[in-house]
Amino acid sequence: MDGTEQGTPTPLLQFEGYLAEVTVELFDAYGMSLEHQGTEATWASVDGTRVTATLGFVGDKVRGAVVLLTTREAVCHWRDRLSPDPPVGDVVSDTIGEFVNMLVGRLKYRLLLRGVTLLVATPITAIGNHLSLPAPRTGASRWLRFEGEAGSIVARVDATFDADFEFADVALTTSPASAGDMMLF
Amino acid sequence: MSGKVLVVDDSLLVRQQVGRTLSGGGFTIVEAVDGLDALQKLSANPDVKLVVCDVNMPRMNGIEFLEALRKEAQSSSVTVVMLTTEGQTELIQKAKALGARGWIVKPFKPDLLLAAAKKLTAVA
Repeated sequence: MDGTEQGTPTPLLQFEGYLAEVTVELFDAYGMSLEHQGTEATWASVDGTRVTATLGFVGDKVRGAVVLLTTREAVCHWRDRLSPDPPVGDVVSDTIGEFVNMLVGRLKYRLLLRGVTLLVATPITAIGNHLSLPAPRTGASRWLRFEGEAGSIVARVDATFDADFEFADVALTTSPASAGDMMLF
Repeated sequence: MSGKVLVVDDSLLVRQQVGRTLSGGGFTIVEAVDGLDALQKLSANPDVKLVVCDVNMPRMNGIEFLEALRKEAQSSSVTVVMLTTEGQTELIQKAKALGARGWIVKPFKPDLLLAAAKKLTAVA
C-alpha cells in the first residue's frame, strides 16, 4: 500500500506533508535550522529526558492530533532563543506547549488554503526520562524525524477522516492571515 | 508615559515576550492567564489602556473575553488587540465585530507590536 489512490496522496499523507513543511518553517522563523530526515512507522524516541506535547483538533469530517517529541535540552534551547528572561516556573512544558500551538497554527493555515477549517484544543504536555511513544495503532500515520540546530525532534499528525472528506480547493475570496501578519482595524 | 497594558495568554513564555517588548517601550505590564483572569485583572486595574489577548485559552477564550467585555460598561472603552496562532477570516471578522481593534498572528514582530501599542494607546 503506498497511501495513494489513483495517484493522489490520501488526506492523511497530505496532512503529513504539510506538517513536515511547517515544522521546518516554524524553527526557521526563529533562526534554528532543521531538516526533515525521514519518516518511520515504528515506535519513536529521542535520547535523553524527553518532552512531548499534544494538540488535538477537529474539523468538518476530520479529527485528530499533532504530537511533538524532543529532549528537554532542545526545548530549553528554543526557550533561550525566544526569551532572555530568567526561566520562571515550568518553562519546559510551557515552551513546548507554545511551540506545538504555533506548529498547529501553521498547519491550520495550510489547510485553510485547501478549504479545511480546524478548531484546536489547548496543548497537553508531558516530561519523563522513559517516555516512549509506540507505533501508531492504525498503521497509517507515521513519525516524522527532524535534526538540526533546533535539536532532535519527532512529530506526527494522526487524523481520522469521514469517508466523504475532501479538500475544497476553491479560490478563497479572502486569504487567511498567516504567521507574522498584523492588521489594525 | 505610555500607560498600562494587560497581556492575556496561557503561555508564560508569550506573556514574557510581549511584556518585555512593551515594557521596553515604556508601558507598565499586567498579566493574566486566561479570559476569566483578564476580567478580574481589569477590575483591579481600571487604568489599563490596552489588552493584548490570545484566542485559544482554557476557562475563557479570547472571543468569549471580548463578548464578556462588551457587557461590562466600565471596561467597554479599553482597547483590545488579539495575538494568536489563528488566521481564519471568519474568526477575525467576529473579533472585529465584538470590538477588537487589531489581529496579530504569532510570531509577532516586536517593533511592529510596540508601534501598534503606541498608536492604539495614543488615541485610547
